Amino acid sequence: MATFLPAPRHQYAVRDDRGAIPTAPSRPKPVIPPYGQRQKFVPRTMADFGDGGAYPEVHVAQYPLGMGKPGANTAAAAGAVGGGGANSSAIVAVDVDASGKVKHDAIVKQGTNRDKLVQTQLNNVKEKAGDTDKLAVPTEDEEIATAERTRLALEKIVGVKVTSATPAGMISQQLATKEAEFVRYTPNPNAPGFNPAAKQRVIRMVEVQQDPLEPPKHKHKKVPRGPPDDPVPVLHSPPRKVTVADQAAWKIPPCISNWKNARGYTIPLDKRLAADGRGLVEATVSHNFATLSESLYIAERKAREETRLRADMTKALALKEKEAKEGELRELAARARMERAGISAPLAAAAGGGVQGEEGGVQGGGGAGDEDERVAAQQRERLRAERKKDRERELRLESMKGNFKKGKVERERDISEKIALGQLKGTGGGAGGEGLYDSRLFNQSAGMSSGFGDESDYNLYSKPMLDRGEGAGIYRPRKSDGDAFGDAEEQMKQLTSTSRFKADRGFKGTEAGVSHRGAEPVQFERDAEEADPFGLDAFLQEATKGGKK
Amino acid sequence: MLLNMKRTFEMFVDREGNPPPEFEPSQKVKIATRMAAEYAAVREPPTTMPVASTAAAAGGGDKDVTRIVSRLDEEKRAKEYAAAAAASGSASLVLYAPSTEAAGGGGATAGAGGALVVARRQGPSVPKPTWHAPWKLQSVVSGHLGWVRAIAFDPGNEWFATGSADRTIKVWDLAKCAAGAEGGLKLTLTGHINCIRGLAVSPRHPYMFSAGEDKKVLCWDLECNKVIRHYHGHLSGIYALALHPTLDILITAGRDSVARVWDMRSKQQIHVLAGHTNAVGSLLTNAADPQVITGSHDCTIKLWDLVAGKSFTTLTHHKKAVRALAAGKREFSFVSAAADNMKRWQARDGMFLNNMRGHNAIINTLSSNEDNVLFSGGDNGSITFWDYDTGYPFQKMTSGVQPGSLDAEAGIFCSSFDASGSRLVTGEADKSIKIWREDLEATPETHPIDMKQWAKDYTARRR
Repeated sequence: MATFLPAPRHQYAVRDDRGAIPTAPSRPKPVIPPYGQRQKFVPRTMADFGDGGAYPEVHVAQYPLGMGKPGANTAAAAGAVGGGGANSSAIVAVDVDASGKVKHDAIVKQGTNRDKLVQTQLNNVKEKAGDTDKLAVPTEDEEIATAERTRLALEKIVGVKVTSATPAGMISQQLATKEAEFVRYTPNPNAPGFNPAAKQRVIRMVEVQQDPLEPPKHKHKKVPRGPPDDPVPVLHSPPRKVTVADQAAWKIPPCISNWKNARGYTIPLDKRLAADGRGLVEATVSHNFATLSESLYIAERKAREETRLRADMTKALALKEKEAKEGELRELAARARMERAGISAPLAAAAGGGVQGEEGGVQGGGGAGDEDERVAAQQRERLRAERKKDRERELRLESMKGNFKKGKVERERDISEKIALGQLKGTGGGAGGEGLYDSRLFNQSAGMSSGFGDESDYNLYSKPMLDRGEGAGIYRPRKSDGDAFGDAEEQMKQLTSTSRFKADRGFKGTEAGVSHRGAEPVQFERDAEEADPFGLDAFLQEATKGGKK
Repeated sequence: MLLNMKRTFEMFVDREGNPPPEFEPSQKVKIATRMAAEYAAVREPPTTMPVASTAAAAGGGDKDVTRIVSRLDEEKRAKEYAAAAAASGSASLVLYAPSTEAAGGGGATAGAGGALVVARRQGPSVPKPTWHAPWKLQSVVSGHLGWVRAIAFDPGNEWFATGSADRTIKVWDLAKCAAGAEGGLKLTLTGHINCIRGLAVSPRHPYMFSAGEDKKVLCWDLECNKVIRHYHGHLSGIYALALHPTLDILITAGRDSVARVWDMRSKQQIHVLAGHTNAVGSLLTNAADPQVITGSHDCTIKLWDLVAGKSFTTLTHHKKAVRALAAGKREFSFVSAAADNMKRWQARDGMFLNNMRGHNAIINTLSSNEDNVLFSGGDNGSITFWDYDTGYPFQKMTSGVQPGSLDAEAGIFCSSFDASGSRLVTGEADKSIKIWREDLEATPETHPIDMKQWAKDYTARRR
């Protein structure tokens, strides 16, 4: 195909970048002599181990991967995470205990736990009786020694703090820092502004002078927390799973307040009611109250029963006595009648008294006025029966309770009730009487001027609705009171005629109680006496009469 | 004459410097008594075990028996026995070893001659708790208007001070309060602006120290009843305060999860004991190392090296916040209380000794007295009295609320035995201070130790 195609006009250089990148200049690989020729070989760097372990035939302390290197771990611990590489504290040399077992707890006994007591054994969680020596109460010597040691150590700390806080201490501090420090400084040749003439400088560092009277400028700064201690094994079993019952016990309902609802949630009424605690307050009334009230009620009922019974009894007794008395009277009367009729008393007494005796007496009389007497007796009988009936009715009415007593009922009926019963005998109204009419309906010819009076007037109706015969004058002294309080009429007159209680000055424009009702001019009447105070007219009249005389 | 002298010489000269010969019958009686009194339990060796060699006993026994025996001596003697047995090459078991090994549940005793004797694993021997008289309520003092959260006793045992959530410190006359008499309140000190959480009275100065949730640490001069020093520096509320027993140092710890060490006189902060990751709720100070022990809400206890200001052990056994610590009075140990458990520790190195199980509540306070009675008071008003050594709870009860308080207000926040250890004062959530004392009429017969239940509990939890 290339044969018949024209040759390309442009050429494209395609660069092959495979293997073209210059490899980083690698450090010369350390020459590790083969086994058997290592007499003079000392592995010093990490590379000398070639990712392998120690050379057992080389009798030099070796730290492949930095394991077990003295100072390596402490440095790593100080730098916390910064270690990195083979020197990091993540790698721990395998160590064995006296019985040849691997000490796995070495992994937790590094870092900050290096010089601490770390409990890692199963034995540490088992119950045991303690060590008698260690459980012994510290002796006085031990206590004193500890106290002295601690006191010295703490005094040092306190001393530093106290002196730094005192003015004298501050001055000494300032003096100490006032001494100039000299620092040798080699600038970076690649840095901008590098002066090749001064390859190295010596700098004198002096403390900036401070105004001792300057107000303090502190600002409380939050000191970040230091790195936490390395963890120690947790020597307790994992927490138990939370049961449903536990969860239910920990369910705390949301707080519902009657005063605050910042987010404006809609709270169901039942929740609100539950929140205000009215359900919580249980009204605890001693049941003794109930027993007391019940016994009181029972006692009252019993007492009422008893009084009723007693009243009944007395009434029955009274009735009986009355009847007995009546009977006696009747007997007496019969006897008297018989005596009058000429029948001997003993006979009547032998007859046994009573009505029968009387009748017997009557029959036994057999007189001429037989018929008349019989009629009279019948009449008397009827009257007696009537009277008796009346008495009984009265008795019944009296024995009616409270509000239903006859008189009271009549008195205390409501007006509407009375109207309904047709009992109201008012001035108008009622069934038969004339009606109660609006007074304005009459006297139509006078027009509205006569119909509507002043606002304060009360003359809407022609008559008061009820004719309170006795009610109208109850506040007026009665005639009968006259003997007690003097003559009522006279007093009344005196009271009404006197000007003692009249105001000496009225309101302006309302003098003399002018009524503005009418439109016609006020008419005055001449008082006869006033017109002739000295009796001149009368004298003249007399004089003229006398002249005629 | 010569014969007589010779006899005298024989009698005395060759024994010069030696103790006089022992009188045989009295010696026998003495040994028999000791055997009956102290070795009755191991007199008959178990049948499955090889009988202890009498040769070992004969080898060094006689001399040892006559020695005045203390606990340490016995231990030494046991070692001698073992050595003698090893020398003789015969397989032998230590006849009597102190309880340290017995409690370990048996084990192996290796002889020098290569003979390895394996004792059978025994069940744990149940320690016999010592009997303590039960405690009962003596009087209730009310006067505070808030929770009573801190108590401190005068070293002279005449008065005690209580700090409350009503921001006051009240000083009470112990005798009057205990008798329920009028005029128990001697003094009310105001100066804090929030709940008072820590109180301490110095035994060497006329000072009282108080710390509160208002971040304030105050030093009160008890001669003029005024604040004379403030220790400024806490970033948040303070929950605990303690004085160093021998040095003029004050230690406070609180919600900023550090404990701070203050110089009493110069008010300088000497150390910040940082390392906890949550609030520090309890503090303990000792004259010997560890001089400071802190219990925190991050469920750990730290033992601090006061000289360097660093912790030297962290104890992570607890599963819940450690809210109370109490030191043993007869041994160098301490007890820590969390909601899951109470634990006893060896103070010097923080070795775990035993659990004290039985108080199922959030324990707010612990106190111990010289009679080895340990008191723990719970957030729900529950109270447990323990035998400190064995961890036997010899009395459990609840402290009732004052009339007029809610049931939910039963709770014990602080407690302290008085200097004599015969009275216990507790500060409660119902704003009252309760004073308890031992029931003097109780005897081991009327209130026996329930060994059956105790053995059951003890063995059950060691599974």
